Amino acid sequence: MAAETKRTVTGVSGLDEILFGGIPINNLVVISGDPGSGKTCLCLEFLYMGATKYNEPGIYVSLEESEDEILRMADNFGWEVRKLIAERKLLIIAVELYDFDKLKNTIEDVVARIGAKRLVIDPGVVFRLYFERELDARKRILSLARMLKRIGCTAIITNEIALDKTSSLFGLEEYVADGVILLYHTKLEDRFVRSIGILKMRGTKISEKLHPIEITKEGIKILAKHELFEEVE
Amino acid sequence: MAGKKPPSSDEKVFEHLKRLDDAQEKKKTSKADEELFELLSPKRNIDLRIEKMFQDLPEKFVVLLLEKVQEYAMISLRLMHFFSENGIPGIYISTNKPLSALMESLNAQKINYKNVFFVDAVTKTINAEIIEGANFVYIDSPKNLTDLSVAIDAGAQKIKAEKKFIIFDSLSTLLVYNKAGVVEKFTHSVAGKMRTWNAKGFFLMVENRQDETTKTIAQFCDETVEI
Repeated sequence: MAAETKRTVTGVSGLDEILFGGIPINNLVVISGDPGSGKTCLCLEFLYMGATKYNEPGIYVSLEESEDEILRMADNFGWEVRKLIAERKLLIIAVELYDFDKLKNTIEDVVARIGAKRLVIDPGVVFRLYFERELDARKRILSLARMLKRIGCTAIITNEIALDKTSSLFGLEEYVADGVILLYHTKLEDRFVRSIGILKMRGTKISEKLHPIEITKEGIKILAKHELFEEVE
Repeated sequence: MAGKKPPSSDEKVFEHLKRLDDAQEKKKTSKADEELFELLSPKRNIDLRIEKMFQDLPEKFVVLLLEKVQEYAMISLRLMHFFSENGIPGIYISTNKPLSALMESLNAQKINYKNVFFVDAVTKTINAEIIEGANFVYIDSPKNLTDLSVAIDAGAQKIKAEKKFIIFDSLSTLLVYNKAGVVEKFTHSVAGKMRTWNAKGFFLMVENRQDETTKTIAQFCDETVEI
C-alpha cells in the first residue's frame, strides 16, 4: 500500500478540499493570477492559518509591497499579524535589493531562525528584473527551488498572468514547480468573476474544475462544492 | 321437472331493444364525461393532469416539464398548489416572474408558500420591487449561473424534510441569457444535485421537442413530460 502523503493543510477555506487534503509537504507551488484575483490575500492567509491553527511558523518575502502595506491588508481581514510577528510565528521581509543570491541567502537564514514551515515569495514576477540573460535566470531560479526543497518549507511563489496570457517565470511553472494554481479575475459582459483552478500538483489528486471564489471580510473563500459555469479564458 | 319456457318472439325483440338502449345510454354517459371534463375550469383541468402525472412518476425524479405557452404561468402555480396541499416543502427558482408578482399570484390562488425557499433571478434585472424575507434570495441576473447554483444549494441546506421539491422556472428564459452549452452544463449539474437531495425535481421549459438543446437536456432527466 502506498504511504499516505504528508500535507501542509493550508487552512484557506475550500482550498484543502480541492487539493484533497492540502499541499503535499515541501512542495514548491506557483500561484499565477490576474491582477486583483486574490493572490496576496491567499498567500497571507496561508501563513496566518499556519501560524495560528497548525503551529507552523511562516515567512512572507515581499518583493514589491512594504511591510506596512501587508499589515494593513491583514488588519482589513481582522488577522492579528503584528502579534504573530512579536511571537516570531510570522515574519514579513520586504526585500528591495535586486540581488538574487542575497535574496536566496536571506531566505535561508530567516527560515532557520524561526524554524519556518511555510514560505511565500510575492510577487515572483519581480525576478524578471534580476536577470538580463534567460539562461542565467533559469539556472538561478532552479537553484532557488532546490534551496527551498532543502530547507524543508512548503513554499508559494506568486506570478502575474499578463494581459496577453504569457506568464511563465523562466520555466518555473512548467519545469521546476511541483504545483501550479491559477487564479482568475475575469471580466464578463457587465461584471467580474473570480475563480480558481489547480493546473498541477505533484503528489496529490486535485479537482479538475474551476471553482468560484469569494473574498469576504474574514478572508478568501473557495467554493469547493461549486463549479464555475461562466466561461472564462 | 318442468323445463324453462322458451321466450316468445315478442320477448326476444324486447330484450334486443333493451340491449340497444343500454348501449346507447353508455355511449351518452361517456360523451357526457368528456363534455364535463371540457367544461371544467382550466385550473381544475391542469390539477387533474398534474395528479395524473404524479401517479405515473416514481417517488423521486428529475423531470423536464414541457409546457404550452398559453398555460405556462398556470402550470407552475398549480404545481406549487399541489405541493402546498400535500405539505411538501421545496425550492422555487424563478427566472421569469419577479418574486413580488409571483407572491401576488400565489396569494390570489390561496396557495400557502411559507415552506418554500425562493431564488429570484429576475427582480434585480428588471429593477422590480424587492420583498425582504428569510426565505428569499435575489440573484443579479439569469446570467449569473454560478451564483444561482450557490443559492439553490443554500436553499437545499435549509430544507431538512425528507420529501422536498425543486422547481426551476424556467430553462427557456435561461437560454435567452446564456449560451446553450453553458445552460446544458448548468442543468446537468443541478439535475445531479436534485438526485443527491432525493428531491422531486422539475425543469420547466416551453414545449419545443425538436430543439437540440431540449433533446440534450432531456437526457439529464428521468422523464420528459408534456403537460
